[in-house]
Amino acid sequence: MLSKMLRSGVALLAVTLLLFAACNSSDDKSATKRFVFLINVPNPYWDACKAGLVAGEKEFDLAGSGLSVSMESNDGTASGQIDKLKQFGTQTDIVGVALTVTEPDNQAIIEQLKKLQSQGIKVITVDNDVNRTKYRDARPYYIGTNNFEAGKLLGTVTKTLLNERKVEKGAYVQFAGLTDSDNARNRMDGVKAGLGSDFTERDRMADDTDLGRANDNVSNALTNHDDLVALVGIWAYNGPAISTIAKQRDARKNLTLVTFDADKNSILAMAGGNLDAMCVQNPYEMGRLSVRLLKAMHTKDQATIDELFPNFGKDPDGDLYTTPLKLVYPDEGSPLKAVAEKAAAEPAGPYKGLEFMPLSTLKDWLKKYGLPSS
Amino acid sequence: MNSVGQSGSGRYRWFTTEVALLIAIALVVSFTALADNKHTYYKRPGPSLQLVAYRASTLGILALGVSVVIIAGGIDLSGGSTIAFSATVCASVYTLLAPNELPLGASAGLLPVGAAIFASLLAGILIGNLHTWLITAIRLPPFIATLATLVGLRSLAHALCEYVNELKGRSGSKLYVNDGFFYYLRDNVWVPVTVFLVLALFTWFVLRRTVLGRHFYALGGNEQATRLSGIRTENLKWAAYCFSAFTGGLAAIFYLADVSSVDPITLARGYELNAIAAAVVGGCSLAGGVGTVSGTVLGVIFLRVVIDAVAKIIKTNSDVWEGFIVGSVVVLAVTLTQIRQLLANGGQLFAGLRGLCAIPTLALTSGIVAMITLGTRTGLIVGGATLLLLVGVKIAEVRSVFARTPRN
Repeated sequence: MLSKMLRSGVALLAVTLLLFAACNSSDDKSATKRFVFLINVPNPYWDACKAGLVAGEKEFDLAGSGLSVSMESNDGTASGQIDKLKQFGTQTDIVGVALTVTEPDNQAIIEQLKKLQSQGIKVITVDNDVNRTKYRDARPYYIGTNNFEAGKLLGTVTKTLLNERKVEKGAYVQFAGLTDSDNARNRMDGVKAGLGSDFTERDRMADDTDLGRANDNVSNALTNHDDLVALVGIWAYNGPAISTIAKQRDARKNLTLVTFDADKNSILAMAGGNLDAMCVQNPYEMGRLSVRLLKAMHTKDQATIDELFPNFGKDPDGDLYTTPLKLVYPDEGSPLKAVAEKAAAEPAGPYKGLEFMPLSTLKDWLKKYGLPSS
Repeated sequence: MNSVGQSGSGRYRWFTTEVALLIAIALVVSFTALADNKHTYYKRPGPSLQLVAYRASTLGILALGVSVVIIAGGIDLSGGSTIAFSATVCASVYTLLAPNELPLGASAGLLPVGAAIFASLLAGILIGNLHTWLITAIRLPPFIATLATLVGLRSLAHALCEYVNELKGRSGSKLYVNDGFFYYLRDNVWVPVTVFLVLALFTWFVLRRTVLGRHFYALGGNEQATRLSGIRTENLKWAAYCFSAFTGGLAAIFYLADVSSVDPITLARGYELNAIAAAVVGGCSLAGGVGTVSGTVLGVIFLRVVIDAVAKIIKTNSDVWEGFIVGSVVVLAVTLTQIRQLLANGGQLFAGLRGLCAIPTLALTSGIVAMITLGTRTGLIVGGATLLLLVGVKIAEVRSVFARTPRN
């Protein structure tokens, strides 16, 4: 008797959970068609992108066209992404997919993207692209950062900061979650190119997105290498790791500390004088523009597409829309303030494509969109 | 009922798991001191000692809870997720009670910090309660019950993060705790070390000096017999799983302090396996009824010393080899702790056909490792030499068996 009651109870619980899931998805409005933005794993980096999607949804009046947009994530693996893409193909309400590609050379992902397009679903890539030399036809357009160029700019800025401190030679270590991921590799290659041959890259340390291990890596780098003059954070949380450990180890004064992205703890570290520069991507704009582009593709608004990709078909890179980068520096006492003035006077110089801004300006921008980080 | 698995002849009685681990730790530390070309352990031992102590303490807190569950015959796979969930609860309470902006390094005060810490510990205990209910009332196997929370808790924590951020009028899937008190925990390694040692002492006292402790061993050794002798096994399970989850909630405070933020998807991911590995290396048997606190403490220290050794010896790209080396050394350590039984039983390394099959696998592994690190030719030589050596051992073992067999 008890067993029967328990079984009924469990069945009731299962139905309740499914109902809960259904209720949760019911705030998908009454739109009949929708766009999906597929990310790999939930990560604070995508919070700004989500804010961009929401802003784009309003700005480009998706509701007026019977459309909506939502963000979905998979488990970070290529197989998870393939499953999601297959699932999208079976859902008749999905008319557009923007995705950040897990593995640029993965044939199964490429096939799924082509299959979605053959079903009339519009597909674009954002932030991480497919291998363009082999599989350009897997999507018509890409929106995101040029990671190599971004790395090169951060490397150049790091070199400038070192030279300002009269450091002409030395070694550095770069830290990332996965050193062999497409964006990390390109950024690190870029940083190396920007720093040039006077500075030696001692290591590229991976932490497998374990924040505790990210701290340990910095500590081990400082123990293992006596000649370090700079530490470079490649993923958002590496910024707090390098600043915290450098401060803890009392090594801050001998090191130039730079990072990608503006994690909230990086912002605090910079405010406290423990970080010299942040190269901030624009995931907000990636989200906003994805909405604009997908809507234009769905409604066959060629004028908007031409505006976003004026050189499509004419230039080998005409299928890329590179989102701008911000270089954030401390409000007080940073040599980058003078560099920013030089860069403003010489837009085609070595910092082309980089918008310099003091920390307070970034904080104001984040506050405007209710974001803790970017 | 045997707490340390010390069966076998009296000749090797002194060679306990703890002695084996002490020898292993001493060997690893000595080898690292010699092989590290910077000789960090001599010249600047402070930073390495602090790093190992902090990591060993935080992992050790969790491992103590996990080892009690293992001794009681269960398994808790949810340690990492319990940490992530409890840390999220801790950060949520703090975020809701603390002012939005604090001067750098300042603390929000006793109420927000105290409430956040209390909430983290309470969340842990409630998770333990849930496990016990699933195991004793719903009759789920412990593996399934804790596997479910391993998956589910992170997802719930993620939703909680977004909800709390929404309540505060912002978006985001991560919570930040920048408070002077948590900075203090992060920067003063003696705090987690003291908490770990006090908890270890308490666990040792309960296991070795109380009736409850004896009942844990009895439950792990034979649940049915324990129940038939009138002991309320369900209460024992409740105590074990609640203690395990409580240690997760306690460890969460230090993990949160370490990184000043909670990202529930990545925080302490996979740490449950590290804790189980530490307990097993320390002599806990997954069959239940066997294990000691001192063994678990030494198991944790051994694991962290090995991880530190990899970073010190392989200066660059150490992450590539870390998993392989730690895995191999753990197997060697457990083998070392089993040597007493092996010797006492006159045991063979490659007994029977299964032992024979292991020889080419080991030779191939050593050959591949040598090939990758030292080149193709050296790899072939090392692989071939290992094969010959192991075949030689096998032949010696077979001869020894024949020599011992009585002849008519």
